[in-house]
Order: sequence, then C-alpha cells, then structure tokens
Amino acid sequence: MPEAQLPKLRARNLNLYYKAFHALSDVTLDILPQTITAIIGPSGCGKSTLLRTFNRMNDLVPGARVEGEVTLDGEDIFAPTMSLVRLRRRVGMVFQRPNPFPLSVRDNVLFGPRAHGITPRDRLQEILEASLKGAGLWADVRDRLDEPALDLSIGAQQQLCIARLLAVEPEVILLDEPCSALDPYSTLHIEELMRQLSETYTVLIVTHNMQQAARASDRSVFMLLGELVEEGPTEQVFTMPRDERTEQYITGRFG
Amino acid sequence: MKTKEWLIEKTLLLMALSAVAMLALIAIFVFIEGTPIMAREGLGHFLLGRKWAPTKGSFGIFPMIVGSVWVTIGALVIAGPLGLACAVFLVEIAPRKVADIVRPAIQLLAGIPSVVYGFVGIVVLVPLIREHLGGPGLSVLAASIILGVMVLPTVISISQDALEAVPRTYKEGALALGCTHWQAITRVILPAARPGITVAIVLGLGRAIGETMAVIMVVGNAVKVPAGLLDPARTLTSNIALEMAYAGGDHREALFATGVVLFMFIMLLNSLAALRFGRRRPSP
Amino acid sequence: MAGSTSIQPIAELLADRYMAQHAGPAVEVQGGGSSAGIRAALSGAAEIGMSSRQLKPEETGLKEYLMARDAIALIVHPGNPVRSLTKEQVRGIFSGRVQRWEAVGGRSGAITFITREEGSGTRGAFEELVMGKETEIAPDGIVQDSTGAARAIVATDPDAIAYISLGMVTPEVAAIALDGVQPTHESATDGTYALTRPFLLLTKGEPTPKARAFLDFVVTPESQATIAEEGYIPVKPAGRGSGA
Repeated sequence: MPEAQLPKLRARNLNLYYKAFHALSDVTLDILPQTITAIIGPSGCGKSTLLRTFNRMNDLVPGARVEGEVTLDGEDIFAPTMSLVRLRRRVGMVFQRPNPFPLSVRDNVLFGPRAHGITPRDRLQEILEASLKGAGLWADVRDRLDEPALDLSIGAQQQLCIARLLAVEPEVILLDEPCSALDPYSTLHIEELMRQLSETYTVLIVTHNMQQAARASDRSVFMLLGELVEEGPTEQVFTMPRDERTEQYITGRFG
Repeated sequence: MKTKEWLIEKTLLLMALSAVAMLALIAIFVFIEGTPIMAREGLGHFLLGRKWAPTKGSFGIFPMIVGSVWVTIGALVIAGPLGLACAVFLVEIAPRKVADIVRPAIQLLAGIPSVVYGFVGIVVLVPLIREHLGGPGLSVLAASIILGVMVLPTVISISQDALEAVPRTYKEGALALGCTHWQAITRVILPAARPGITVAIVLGLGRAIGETMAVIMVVGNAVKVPAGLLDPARTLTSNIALEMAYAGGDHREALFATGVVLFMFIMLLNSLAALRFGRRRPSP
Repeated sequence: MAGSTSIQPIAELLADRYMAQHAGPAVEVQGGGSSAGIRAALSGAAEIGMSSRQLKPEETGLKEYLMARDAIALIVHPGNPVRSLTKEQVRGIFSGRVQRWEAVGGRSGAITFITREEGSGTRGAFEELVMGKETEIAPDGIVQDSTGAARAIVATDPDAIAYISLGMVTPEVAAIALDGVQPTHESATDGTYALTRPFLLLTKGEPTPKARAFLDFVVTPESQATIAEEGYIPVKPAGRGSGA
C-alpha cells in the first residue's frame, strides 16, 4: 500500500450463499478511497456478486445469505442499526445496462434528491446542473432537459445514470460492467469520466474487458470461482502477477 | 406440404373471418331492430325521456342511462384502488408462498357465476346497507359493491401483468439510489406500468357495464333517476334482461334500442381507451 | 291451444311432458291473451282455448276444464305486525299513494314495495285483480324478476311487501290476509280469497279425441304435481270442471 490510508470499504472473511450455491468464499479485501479499483475475472466468478454486496443489492435476491464482515468507514454495513437507505445513498451503483427511468432527463436526475425530500426549486436546479456537469452530459442535454430520457443515445443514457447517482452525493460509486452495452467511443468517454470521479469518490468497477481494467484502474482484484485470487496495483497485477491463475487469465489462456 | 400449409392458413383465416362476421351480424341485427323506434320516438325523447312504461307507449331510457353510469363508476371506485393495491401487494410485497396461494384464489373469484354474487348481495349486502345506511338496501351502492368485487379479478390480474412487465432494472435503479421500497413502487414502478393499468381499468369497466344478472338482483330496478347512492336504480342491461322475455312489438324494439345505446357506450369507452394508448408515453 | 299468457308457460311445460310420453300429433301452445283464447276456441281456430279468468255471461257455448288455480299472496317480513290489509290499502301502497306503514296500522317506517317486471304473468294477474284499470303500479318501485328474489328481499327487510304466487310462500315470509281472508289452499279453492283466478281450458262442445287425451293428461297426479311445483294451486282430479 502506498500510504497509511484508511480503507473506505473493507471485507473480512466474506462468504455469500445463494441457497446452497457458495458464490463468494472467504473474501478479504480493502478498498482505498479516491482510487479506481477494477474487479476482473471470468463470467460467474462472483465479481458482480462482490460488488453488489457493498450496497447490499444482494438482499433483493431470495435465498441470499451472507457471513463475515463488511465495513464502510469502519461501520458494519450488516449491522441492524445500518439503514439500507443511508447505505445506498453513500454507496451508489451504475448498472450494466443503462436503466434510466421512463421519465424526462430532469426527473431522472432529480429522482434521488426528491425521494430524499429536497424540495426548494433553486436547490434542485443547482443539483441538476452540477450532476449533469459531473457526468459530462450538461452540454449535450441542457436544451433537452424535459425530453424523455429514453430518447437519448445509449451512451448518454449511461452518463445520465451516473448523473442521477451523483445527484444523491454518494461516497462510493459501484460500476457493474458499465460499458458492456456501449460503443468504443462512449466507453472511452465513461473511462475518462471515471478518472475525474476518482478525484472525489471511491470508484469500483467490475469489467470483462482486460484493456479497460489495465488502462483505467489504479488497483485490480482478480477473482475466480468465488475466491479472491489476487489483489494489488493494476500495473503489478497485469505485468507481474503473483498467482499462476492470474497470469493464465490475463494472457488469455481461459475466460 | 405446401398445400397442407395453404389449407391450414386459409382455414384459420376463414375461422377468424367468421368470428368477425358473427359479431358484425349481431351488431347489425341489434341496430336494425333498435333504430326504427328511436327514429319514431325521436332520439332526444328516447334518450332523455324519464318515463318508461313500454306497455303503455312511453319509452324514455334516461333513468337507465344514469343508472348504468352511476353503477359503473361506483364499481370502478371500488375495484380500481382495491385491485391495484392488491396487484401491488402480490407483485411487490407478498412473500412468494402467499402470492402463490392468493393468485389462484383470485382467479377462482372470476369463475363464480354471477347469480351467486347476486344472491350473496341480496342475502348479506342488501340487509347490511339497509340496516346501517338506510334506504331499501337494493341500491346503486349495493350494485356498485357487488360489481366492484366481480370486476376485481380482471383488474388485479391485468394490473399484475402490467406491474410484472416493468423492467426489474427500474426498481433496482431506484433502490440503488437509496429509495425505500415504497418510493420505488410509487415513483417508478406504478408510473411505468400506467398504460397496462389503464387497460386493466378499461376492461374492468367493460365487464361492469355489461354485467346483468347480479345487478338485476341487487340494484332494485326502479325506473327513476337515482338521487343518491342508497336509491334503487335500473341499468341499461337490467332493463333489457328484465323485460325481453315477454316483450313484443314496440316494447321489444325499445329494448333493442336500449341495446343500441349500450353498444354505443361500450364503443365510446373502447375508443377512449384506444386513444389513450395510441399516444406514445407522455413525457412528464 | 291458444290463449292466456299466464297459463302459457305451464301449458308449454305440460305439453312437452305429454309429447315426450305420447306418440302422435304435436301439441302446439300459443299465447294471445285470455280473450283471444276464448275467441279462438269459439271460432275453432284452436282446439283448446286457455283463459285465466272466469267466462263472462255472454261468452257461451264452451266447455270449461279447470286445470289449476293461481292465487297471489301478499307477503311481508315475519316480524312485521301488519297481518291484514284491505284491497284498497294494497292498491294505495303499490300505486305509491300510501308510503308509510303507520298509515295502514303498522310500526313507523317507510314501505318498500316490490313488484315484478312488465310482462310477468304474476304482475299481470296482480294488476288485473288488485290495481284495476284506473290505477297503475308506481314506476319507481323496486322491481325483481323472479319470485325467489322478491321473497328473499321480503325475508330480510322488515319494511318490504311483495306479491308472489301462493304456492311459493315459505315460512321465511308471512302471507297476510286480504280483506280479512287469509290466503290458504282452501280459501283459494272455494273462492273466498279474492286474489285468485282459475286457469281454464276451453273446448267448443265435446273435445276432439286428441284434445281429450291432453285434457286427461293435465289432471293426472303427475301433472298436478308439476303444477304445484311451478307455484300454482293444483286441482284434484275430482275437481275437474263441469260443463257450462
């Protein structure tokens, strides 16, 4: 570790079961603040499951059961005192397929703030502008704020989803293969955006795309069959993997 | 092989056409039978006349029009919110096991013959209304409640389909933003399901306005414009069904004319619905 | 056979039964009303005429066969203290002039009267026997399209009154006296109870063999049982009509 930075998120002996299926086994991991951490690995290795543990989206899956500990700034996220609503405001998520609501651009961005009870008009306008700017979308949509979000291009829709997330002022941003539905140009756009976001936020990205992980992340986590195989600075993981399996995966021998 | 397929195709086409032709024939028949008396009596007289004494030459169906409208709206006021709430509960809130039991039970509700609803209405509901709210019990209110219950399965199952058709990602997106489950339902899922829910309501309306048997039993069938929910009334359908068996001559024509009016009502309703869905999702 | 629309349903039912049991020419039943039935029998247009009223003195030359009696009972809730009404009071109630039970000696309360639909035979009989030519049943009364429904309402509503065939009266409702005469099988048969009418089958002179066979069938115990089931008052085979 570069400095004695306190981890933002920390998983200790994390096990997750979907009924009898052991989806995550004994994962122990620290996520540093203001860095981009990429989680890589073949399909079904548990990388999305791990990501969804951090904002407890797995709670929606019937039969999911968690053992072990996950903390956010030292606070146990599974503690009974932890409010799901508060957790998810602090740990936001962008999904694989852009999922803007069937509302206008404006209503999408302001959805979170409104749900959390912010009503002054000028305050909402501020949030709207700041969030869209933060997602690099302001220039494109400033004149189309009241048009249906579903009319935007798919890349812009994903940016809108990021803007929608920024509007609730999270601390951690979880990106679940955010570019898999996008064209290369939009993908680059999102990667640039991630870089900017990491100045303020802790960013975690699950990706299939090796190049993306290599060029856009600070640290990388390699997972296989629900196990965390290797974790370290991206450069080291990609050039001098300590584990044989990591090397095999990175060099394209499987996955 | 080719000829076989050709044959199947044409047979299906023929079947489809004959179904449509039958409907058309029924409509034409009703119009042919019903329109002459409207012309003779004068449309205004027929639609707005308040005296219905068909064996004595008075044919005014205004009370029945008002009765139908009241009863149908009443049924909707009951079945709409209740059905929607039930659908939301089944889709979003109820544990799987509960939903698996409740769903078939609701389907069962749709299979109960309407005369049973009517009978329960007479024996249970009507006395309740009479004792606690006053009036003769046989009333617009009684008919609305019975119809509301009868329409529930339609409203519930179609709303349910609409809610289930809402992409999961909408709900996930809302939850990931820190919304409560309830906020996700009211702010995303329900608005997204709105077109389907409208269909549910319109189909429910159609069933309510056309239902006859149960209504005859509990609505009182008095030929007068109801002054309130506790007053008896007569609906267009009950007017036809009550008197058709014995009617002859002008009386019979007047009943067919009642059918024409009912037909127009349902057409109007359906085209209103079509108009609403025809439009693209309105941008809020 | 042709005539009274009140007799028509039961006559059709019996004709079906008759044809099912007997080979031979079909029995055809038509309506038209009692007067038309009498005319048809006289003119020979029908082998059997049907009349649900007594013949008038001037209508002669026909043989009468009594197939059944129709008696109409006025029913109220068993808890209603009113147990007797005059014909005039009943007329007042159903025409809408009398609206309160206390006006006819009952408890305080609004009267809910239940009538049958336009065209019903029971309604026709009630209009003929009670309302008369000059008064109409008020249009804003409750209308039910079956005896069962009318009875079910009276059974639960202490303020309701309805008229149904005497044969359909059950203990859940109370049949009340009219002009002091309680409707019973006996009072209906001997004619002291006013709301009765005979169901007469008429032939011009001696019936044809075909007509004779049907007339005999009508008074068999099975047919009379059917008549009772349909809510009419059967006549014993012994009560068969004498010539007029």
